[in-house]
Amino acid sequence: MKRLLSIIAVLVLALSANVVSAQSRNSYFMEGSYFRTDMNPALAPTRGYVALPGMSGVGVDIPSNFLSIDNFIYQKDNQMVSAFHGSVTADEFLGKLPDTGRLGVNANVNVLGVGFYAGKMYWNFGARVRSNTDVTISKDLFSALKTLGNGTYDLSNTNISSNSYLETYVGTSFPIGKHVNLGVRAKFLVGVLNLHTEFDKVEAVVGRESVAAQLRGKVVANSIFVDQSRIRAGEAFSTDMLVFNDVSMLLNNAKSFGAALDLGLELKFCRDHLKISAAVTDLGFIKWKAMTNYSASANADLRFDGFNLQTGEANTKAEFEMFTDKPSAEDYRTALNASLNVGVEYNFLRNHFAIGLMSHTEFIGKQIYSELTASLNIRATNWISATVSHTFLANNKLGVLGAAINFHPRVLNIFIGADFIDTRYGRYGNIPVPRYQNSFNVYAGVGFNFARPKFMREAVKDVRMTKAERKAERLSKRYSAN
Amino acid sequence: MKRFSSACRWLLVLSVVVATGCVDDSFRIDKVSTEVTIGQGATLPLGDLERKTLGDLLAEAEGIDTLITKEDGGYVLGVSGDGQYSIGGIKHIVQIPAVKGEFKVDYPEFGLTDHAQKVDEYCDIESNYGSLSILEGETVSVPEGLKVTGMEDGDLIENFDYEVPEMISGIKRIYLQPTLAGDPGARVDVRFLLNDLSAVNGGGHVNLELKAPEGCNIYNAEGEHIEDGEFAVNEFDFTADQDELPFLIYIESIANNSPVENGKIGFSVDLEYHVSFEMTTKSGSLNLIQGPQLHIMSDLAYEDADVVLNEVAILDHMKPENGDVVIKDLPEEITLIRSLTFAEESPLTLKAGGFEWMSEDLAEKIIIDAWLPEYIILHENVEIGYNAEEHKLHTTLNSLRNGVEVDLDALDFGAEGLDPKNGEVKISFAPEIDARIEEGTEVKLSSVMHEGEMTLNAGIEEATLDIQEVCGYVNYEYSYLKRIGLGGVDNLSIDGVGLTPVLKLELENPFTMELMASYSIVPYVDGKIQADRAINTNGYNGVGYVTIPAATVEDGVVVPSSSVIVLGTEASREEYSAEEYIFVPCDIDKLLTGQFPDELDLRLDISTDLFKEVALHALDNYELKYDYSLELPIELNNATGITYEQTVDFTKMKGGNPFEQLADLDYIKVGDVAVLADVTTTLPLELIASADMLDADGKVIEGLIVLPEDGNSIVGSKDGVAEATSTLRLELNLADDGCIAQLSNVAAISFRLQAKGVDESSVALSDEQYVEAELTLELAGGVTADLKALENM
Repeated sequence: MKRLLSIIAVLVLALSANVVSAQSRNSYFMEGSYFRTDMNPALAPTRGYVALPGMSGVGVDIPSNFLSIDNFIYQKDNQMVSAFHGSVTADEFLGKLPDTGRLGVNANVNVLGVGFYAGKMYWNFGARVRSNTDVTISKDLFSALKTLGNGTYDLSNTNISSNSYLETYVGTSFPIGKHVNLGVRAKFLVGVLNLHTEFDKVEAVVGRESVAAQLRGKVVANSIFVDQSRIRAGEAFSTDMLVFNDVSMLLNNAKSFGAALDLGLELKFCRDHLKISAAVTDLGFIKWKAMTNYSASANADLRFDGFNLQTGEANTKAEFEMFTDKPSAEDYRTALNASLNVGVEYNFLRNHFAIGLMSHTEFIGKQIYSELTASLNIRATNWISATVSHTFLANNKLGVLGAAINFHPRVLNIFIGADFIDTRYGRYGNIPVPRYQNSFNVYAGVGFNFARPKFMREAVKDVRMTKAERKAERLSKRYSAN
Repeated sequence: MKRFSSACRWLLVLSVVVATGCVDDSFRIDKVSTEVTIGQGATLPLGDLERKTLGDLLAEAEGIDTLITKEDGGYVLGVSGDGQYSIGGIKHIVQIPAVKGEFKVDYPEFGLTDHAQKVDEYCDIESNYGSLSILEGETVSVPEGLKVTGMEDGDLIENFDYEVPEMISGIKRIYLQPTLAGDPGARVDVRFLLNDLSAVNGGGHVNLELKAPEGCNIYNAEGEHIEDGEFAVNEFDFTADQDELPFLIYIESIANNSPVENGKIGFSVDLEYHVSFEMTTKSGSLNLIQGPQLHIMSDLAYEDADVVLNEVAILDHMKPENGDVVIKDLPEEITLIRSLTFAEESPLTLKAGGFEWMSEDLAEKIIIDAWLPEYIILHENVEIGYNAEEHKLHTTLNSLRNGVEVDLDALDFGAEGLDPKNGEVKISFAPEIDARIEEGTEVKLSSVMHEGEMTLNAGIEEATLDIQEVCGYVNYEYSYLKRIGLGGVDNLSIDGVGLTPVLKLELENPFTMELMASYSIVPYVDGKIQADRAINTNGYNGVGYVTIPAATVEDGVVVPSSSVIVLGTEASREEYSAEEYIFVPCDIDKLLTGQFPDELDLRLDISTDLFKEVALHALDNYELKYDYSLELPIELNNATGITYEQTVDFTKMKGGNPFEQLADLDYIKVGDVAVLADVTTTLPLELIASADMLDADGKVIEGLIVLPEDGNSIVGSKDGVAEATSTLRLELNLADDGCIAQLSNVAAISFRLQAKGVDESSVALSDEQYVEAELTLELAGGVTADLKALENM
């Protein structure tokens, strides 16, 4: 046994360094998972834990509202065709796409994490590196490819933004009375990279007299890798303007600080059968220092007016320039992508089952993305729980389910889950390929667990008493008091 | 717990079943078709057909130079051209070879009789012996130290006589021959002789003085000149062993004032002398038979003389035995030359030769009078001694030997003139020459003396002359033919032409003489001559030719005269009534009746009046320049075919023919493809459009372009000002599901817009009305491509 425990400990150590605490929707209602605290600081796990660096973990979150096989591959007359095949009408293809496509890549890497109970208060602190990259794509892009004809195509909705920063946090969750849990997590942030594009104009006009395309855009960035002494305004971007190897310089550049706050609330009713929770996370900003500013402008003009039929020369004009601007001497602030999570859970069968509904709204720049996840949570024992869910509103089709499983005995905490698992597959050769899911999300993690606090054990016990047992206890207490 | 475990087991089984049962085997992503279609249809710009005005369209017809719009809005087709005829000129730079006329001279004898005079005289010197008593024939003893002196004065006179030839009127000086080479004159040896006194000569001193006679050039022994009347003094000490002492003078010349009488002249030399001596005796015996003497010796021979001459005639109005001047390479057209005028810088050098032995000084004293031939007209030049009126040159032999340059103005051959033969004229050059020495000329006699035959030649040196003008009679006759093409007019299908055609011919006459010009025009139709429609200047002004005025000369430069001859019908006379035109009425409209000619032969004949004397300015080459313009008024009507044609040659595009690159793109297909032509016009004409795709050989690719069934006409402008736009749709017929590789053999596309005609009541046509077109490419149904084919490339 000891040997087994040792092996498991090594595995945990080996695996827990990069535990990904992505916004795992399934973990919201999984009582044993410490990832749920990331979504609502009031939701503490049932046990304390330790997550150590140098241990591996896997977590990828690629949210998208359009990138599914079903949107791009069609079956027509027993033939498999792409969306750009002539048999697929424009309405058919474009009708499946949102007006603004979104594709993100998020990664959170835990460097260090600890959570523990002191009395009824749950404390947690840690450090991690977070990276959020978001790309918005105008539907006009697909429209132009599918239905290219005379008209104007406005692609200025296409944007790229990315934020990477180091986050250290300290949080706590504490009960107020029997029915309310409050949680707060304060974060100190050190900015590593901020990048966003500003396209004033990305337009293509196809007309009888001319075909023209115009681009007016700007890239604004701030990064510890920028060495302003190497920047010459007017020159094209070059990686020579960046520094990667000079650690002292990188540390010197790391002066873009910020702060954020997570606030959470949980309300329990009906003897903790009904739980309503809400939280706001990543409410904060980072102030990016001017010393690591970088910006570049890109202008492109392309025009085709036909041919000179006398000489055969094409009447074209093509100009492209991308040049580094003089870095701004002013600091600027960016807000984090705040989230609003609201959940409702009803557990039954002695809390072995719970149905939950969670609304997750994310504020990315000027865009607001909302989704609703309904889950069935199975809490078989104190140390194992599973969840099956489905997320609505994120262009997520029926049949794309989420699932997670969490082993959280006294020593170990193993979590594995995915929010989007397609139940309908096609094939690529012998490999099943999901047809309908737009997003991809997989996370797994291993950590050390502490023992469950006493009050938590009693709370569970209380939840799991039958009605007759409860009555008997109530009578017993009355009689004792008398 | 049991219930829960059971539920979990069922959930697990259900999950597996659901998972494994939801794989659709028919949804094979690896079997997705690689065919994609981009776009659903777009109309893209292709290019513009350049704007062309009506003037441009008509001007593009071959053979039509200009389209002139008349005030009344009508059109005139113009055919014009120019050219020049080269007529051989007069070689006006002529080379005159040297001409020498020879004169045999009977030269007079100038010599004096040879005369030499020997002088050998002894003059005794009277002596004083002191106390010594000298008896002739007795021997006395003379003591030592006895002084003997002597002194004598005397004259030595020599007379010279000469016979003088008649041409010498006087001799001023006789020059004596030097005795030895290098002597300044004839040597006169004077010796002081002691004779018998030498026996008691104890040394002494002698003094001899010789006086230079007036007019004689005397030199002493040192070669120093002794002035007239001065004495040459010689003092010598002598020793006991010196018996005689020589003294020397030279006589170079002797002046004379005596006249020549009866062919003779005499003069003398008077040599005055004074001698004294003093001697100291030595002891000895003296038998004085002969006392001291002065011995004078000389050979006085004549060498030369300064003489004064009478007038001597060397040549007396003599003409040379030969001497002709030949001028060559005259044009055959010159039939008679009355005169030749030369340019200002036409020098002629008269020169004489012979008498080389004669010195410059003497030659300068021989006067030459030369009477030049009458036809030679020189510039009056007093400096050199030429009298233009007398045609006489008065100069010296020396000047003539060096050459006397005269300016040749002209050669005037008088009324009879010269008749060139084979382009040459021969002119006799025989001046009359008078050569003499004038009376009173002083010369050295030796300089005028010469023996042997003497020949004087006189003439002109080789010269290059620039003939400026030839007066006489010329016979120029030339004919020139110019074929004027009127091809390409068929493209215009002109009909109902106007009746006032005009042919203007502008001639530049380079000759400084009038020309007679006549010409004719003969039309050709399909290569056949239409003789009955020919027109000419026959009968014009009663003579059948037009007189072209002569060119003028200004500041030595020929300014051609310009004449504009207009052939037209009487209806055009008023239009060309100005003085600048020479209007020749004729029925030129015959050219345009019947079938419109393809070509016209324009024949020009020019000639000169044989019987009229002309002054022809000489040029190396005569260029007869001409400009012609034929104006044919036309009216455009329903038969008029105005065509806008443009061919877009893709092979000339940068990077080559883009269609050729489609050959490998058999995996790309298009839906319906059409070329849309938006035609804009202000022509008030309906236009019929057509187009063809051409291959690399220029052949039409049949069936590739499909014209619309409902017609391909373009509506014209309503008022000839406002633009009217119509769209023509030319569909490309691509079989094989629209594969674009079918277009790979397209090399060009030819567009044509042909005006249908002019409505009878239509708006007037104007040069500025235009037609243009904008081409776009319509792709309906997008572009389909098989991406797999692209990967395989």
